[in-house]
Amino acid sequence: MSDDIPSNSDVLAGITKGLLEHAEEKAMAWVERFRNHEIIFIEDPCTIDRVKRQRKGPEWKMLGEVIKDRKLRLLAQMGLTLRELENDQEKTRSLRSKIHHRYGRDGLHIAEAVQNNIISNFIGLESPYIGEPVDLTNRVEKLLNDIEKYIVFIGPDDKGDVLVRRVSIRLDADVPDTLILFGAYKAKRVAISVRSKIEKAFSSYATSSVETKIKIIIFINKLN
Amino acid sequence: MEMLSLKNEPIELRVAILKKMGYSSDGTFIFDSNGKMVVDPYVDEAVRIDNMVILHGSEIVLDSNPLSLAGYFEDHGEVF
Repeated sequence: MSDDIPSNSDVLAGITKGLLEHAEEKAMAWVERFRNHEIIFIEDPCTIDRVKRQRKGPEWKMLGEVIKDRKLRLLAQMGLTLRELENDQEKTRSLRSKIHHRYGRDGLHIAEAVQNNIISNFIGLESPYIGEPVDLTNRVEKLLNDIEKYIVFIGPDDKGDVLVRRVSIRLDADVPDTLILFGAYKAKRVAISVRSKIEKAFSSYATSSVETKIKIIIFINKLN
Repeated sequence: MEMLSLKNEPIELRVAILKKMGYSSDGTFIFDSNGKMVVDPYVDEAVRIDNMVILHGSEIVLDSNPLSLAGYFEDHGEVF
């Protein structure tokens, strides 16, 4: 090969060097813009847009007013995100896994309680009876911090009689002001049957519910 | 403030940006100036170069996901 004609490897090395130099120049210009607070670097703009949009939405405005604890606020926001991502299985799976990894099963249940409108409905039902905003905050945060105690998430394979026993024990032992049952799809029917048995067995409690075609939230409230 | 997407940018450019900011990368994960792997505190996971965000506030490198971004906004306010 003549000395004047570059070999293939020389050409490749030249291209690589050129690309790297181009990347260096671009990086330098961008980092300068970053340091001047003109830009930020992101992977997918939709992720940030979604979070920002949610924080401006009416439901977050209400939840954000009531929930003050940082961890609970984050999980509540994630509940709204999970609701928005309900039709995107891959993104839902990924976010649920991150919530579970960082905050455990209780954390995921807190997010699910918001996702399924349980907390917004609870606030709607409670707020007329609560005088000071701080009392509402305490009440909602207590519910969220002890979510396994106050909310029963009914699974599709849960048996009605086992659940009735579980709920009865809780009402007898803890005498909570409120106990919430949640069921979706197949579990909705189970929740309804548990409710009717609890109504018959506990005259000191009254129930109310919010339901859609696929979900039901049943509030079991202590009578004063 | 402009949000500059790295989605279609080559790895060489991502590495070059990180280097200019005092970080390094093995092509998958990111390391700080002490060679320590960068872990996103909001999700407690190592940040991958193919899914990172770099935000203001001492040049914070996070994983690009709703939990981390909501956490950032809670801590820093909506600064952009």
